[in-house]
Amino acid sequence: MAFKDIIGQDKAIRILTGTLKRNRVPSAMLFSGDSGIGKKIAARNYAKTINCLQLDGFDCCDKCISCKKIDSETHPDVSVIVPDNDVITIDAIRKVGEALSLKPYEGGEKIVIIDDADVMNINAANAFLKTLEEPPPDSLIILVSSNPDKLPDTIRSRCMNVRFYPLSATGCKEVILKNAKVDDKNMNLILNLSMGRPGLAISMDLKEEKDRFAELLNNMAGGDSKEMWENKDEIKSWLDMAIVFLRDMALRLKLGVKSQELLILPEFAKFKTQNLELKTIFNAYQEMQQVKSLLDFNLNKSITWNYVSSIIKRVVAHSS
Amino acid sequence: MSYLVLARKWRPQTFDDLTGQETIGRILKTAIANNKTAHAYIFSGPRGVGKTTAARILAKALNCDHGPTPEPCGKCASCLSVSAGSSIDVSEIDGASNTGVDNIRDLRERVRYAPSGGRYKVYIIDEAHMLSTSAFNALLKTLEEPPAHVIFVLATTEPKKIPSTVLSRCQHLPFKRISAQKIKERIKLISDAEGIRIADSALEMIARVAEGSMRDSLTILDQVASFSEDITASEIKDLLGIADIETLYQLTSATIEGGGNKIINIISELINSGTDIRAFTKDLLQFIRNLLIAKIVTNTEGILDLSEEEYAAITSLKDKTTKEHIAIVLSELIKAEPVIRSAFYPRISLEMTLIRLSLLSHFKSINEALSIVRNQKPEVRNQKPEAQSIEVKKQVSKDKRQDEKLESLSDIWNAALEKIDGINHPLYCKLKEGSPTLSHGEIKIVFNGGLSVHAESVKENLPYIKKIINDISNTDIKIKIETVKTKSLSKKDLIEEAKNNPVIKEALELFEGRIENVIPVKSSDQ
Repeated sequence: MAFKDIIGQDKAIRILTGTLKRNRVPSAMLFSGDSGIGKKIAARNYAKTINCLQLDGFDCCDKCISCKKIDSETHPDVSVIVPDNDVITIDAIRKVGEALSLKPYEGGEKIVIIDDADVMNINAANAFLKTLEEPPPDSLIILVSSNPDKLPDTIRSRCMNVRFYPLSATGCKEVILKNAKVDDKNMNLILNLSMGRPGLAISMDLKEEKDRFAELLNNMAGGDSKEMWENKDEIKSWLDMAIVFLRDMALRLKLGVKSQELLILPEFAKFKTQNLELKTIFNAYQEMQQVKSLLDFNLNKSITWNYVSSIIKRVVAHSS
Repeated sequence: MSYLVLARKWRPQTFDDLTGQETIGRILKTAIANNKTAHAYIFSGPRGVGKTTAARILAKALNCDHGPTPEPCGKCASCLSVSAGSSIDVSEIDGASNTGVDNIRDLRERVRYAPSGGRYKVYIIDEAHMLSTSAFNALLKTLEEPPAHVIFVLATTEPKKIPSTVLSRCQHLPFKRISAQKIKERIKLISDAEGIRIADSALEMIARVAEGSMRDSLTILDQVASFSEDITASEIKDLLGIADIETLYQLTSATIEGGGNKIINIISELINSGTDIRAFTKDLLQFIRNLLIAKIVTNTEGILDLSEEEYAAITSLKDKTTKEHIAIVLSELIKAEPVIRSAFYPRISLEMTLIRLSLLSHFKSINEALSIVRNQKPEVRNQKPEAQSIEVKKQVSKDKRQDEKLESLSDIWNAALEKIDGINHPLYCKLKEGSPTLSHGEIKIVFNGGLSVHAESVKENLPYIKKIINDISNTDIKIKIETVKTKSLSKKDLIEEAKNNPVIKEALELFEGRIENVIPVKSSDQ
């Protein structure tokens, strides 16, 4: 893969190639934007392009030994730091400093890509500041983050921030088609749910996710609690979907039934909204948000199930 | 050689170069000129305003071959080695990486030796707020009485985290944010020298976005310089993902006017064209905040720093609603912002928030609502015990002679009260609590609920009151004292009553509100 294969991030790619064209490659960068829209791929390709042996204009050749090494993560000068147990510690950051203090093995640039940089703890972030501001020559640090607001100001101000945006519907479709098998009839649903983040549609089966949601929703509405969520992650994604569901209900109530803007509701048309009050939906929405925010604590699964069912029943009972 | 970012390349090398920190530059220069440098400094301030830079200039100034001088030459071996970070006498310590007490003990060992080349040993401890408590404590003795050749500079973004024992041993120089104007001048100078072609409006925008940090502005300049040859304001907007004013305007006006459909359409357009909803929400917040300020403050100059387009949008939105309405929209949006930021589907949360807020389109300010209530008072008061006031009016309209008196009742009453006040103050106070009404040619003084305790003593003085009133009005009016026990006007009961009112109930639920205070509507014909 090379820059030319990255779809829908024209602005970011233009900045990246611009730094190469004008010989302005900075020493610290921050790639920010939603998850699943190509930040890490862009970072890797940037590293490839900088170290490429047979540059194709301002893009990497994707064929030379250097490009191949980077793709297989065996290049001695290019390292990728990933969080260990959802946190980047000060030790990892010290190692980055040490690695950068050496001369490059292959004569190009030393590049460190830090994925999910926002999970750096406060000590790690502070210990990183000096390295980030004035790294040794021939080095480049790329922070990749979908939550740049969590990074301290002092870190952000030291990096050139390259923003990545969610893809347009057409771009998103193109990427999904390229990377995953999707039936035409499910395409709309998947586009609706991925909301410009093709990585989402590729890494998980959104259709199945929705079907599972529907199944559990029906169980809830029917007062059947034999089958419930399997684990916390499932509760989380289920609640996210439930919020989409409530939003669709609210829209149908306010805008009338047939609307292009409904995301998943066509599947749930049996839930009527005639006798429903908008207030009920908003209350349910707020309660769902609250449950979601409490999920990180040790919630009991069946109690959560009962509570969520009682919320859902209030919305659905009116309808059926 | 690899490219050096602008912020590093253009790091100021003399005190005069230090933009926006003139006071601190002068303090340090004068101290050096008069040979009165303190042995320990703390430089504090937000990111990118020149703390580390000032520390390095200070080190250079003290150790310059032609010095100590307020104007380091920048050419001698000492100055060059400080700039390159290779000087033996100037050590820059990363406080965040060397946090432990061992590091500080090590430092104390080294402090004792005389400088090898220069006059002073300068220790710059950057990110000093990250030192551990024991490290700070181990430093105290050295910091208070260091050898004559040692100068400490602690640089930090968070002076609050520095123990007061350390603060009191150092000279504290707080660095300020740099004004947008000064940032603009500086980046103009740099972009000219670097051969970057950039429009004046674009420079202004960068200066504004940098929020007082010089490094931020230079990082952005670096970025736009690699984006395009000829930089315009719109390109910067594009690059920094600043939301389109027109979209913000449309969305805000839809929210204020209650256009649910329009809100959905605008947001779905944003999604289809690929927008970062989280960043957009922040811009929306800022826009509505500006709107609120424009609504409250008559002269926005110097308070709001707006582009012309934004100013026009805000001016046309301003008159669409009241400031209370905007304030509620703003505060709800502030509450929702963290939810949107952390949501898996930020779009949905933004939509739900805005739709909910759009239901407020019939919002009226408290004063407006009260004035409506006042205008409709007869109906409202119908349900209350004092319903007799309507009867009074009917009665009176039959009798024209009485009518005139009714009009003057409050005058007579007030005059009588005044007179009584002069003679018998306690009685006046009691009477004041009663509410007089005129009917069938007699004045009825009603004492409500708990106030009925006054009724007895007023009754005792009845002949006296009657005489005064008759004197003033020149007629013979009967006076009757009544007490009403049915309704006590205690605040608790009022709040309870308000809580049971269906309209109020709904309003409370919708906004998760609570009843702060209840003020009963006073009848105006008293």
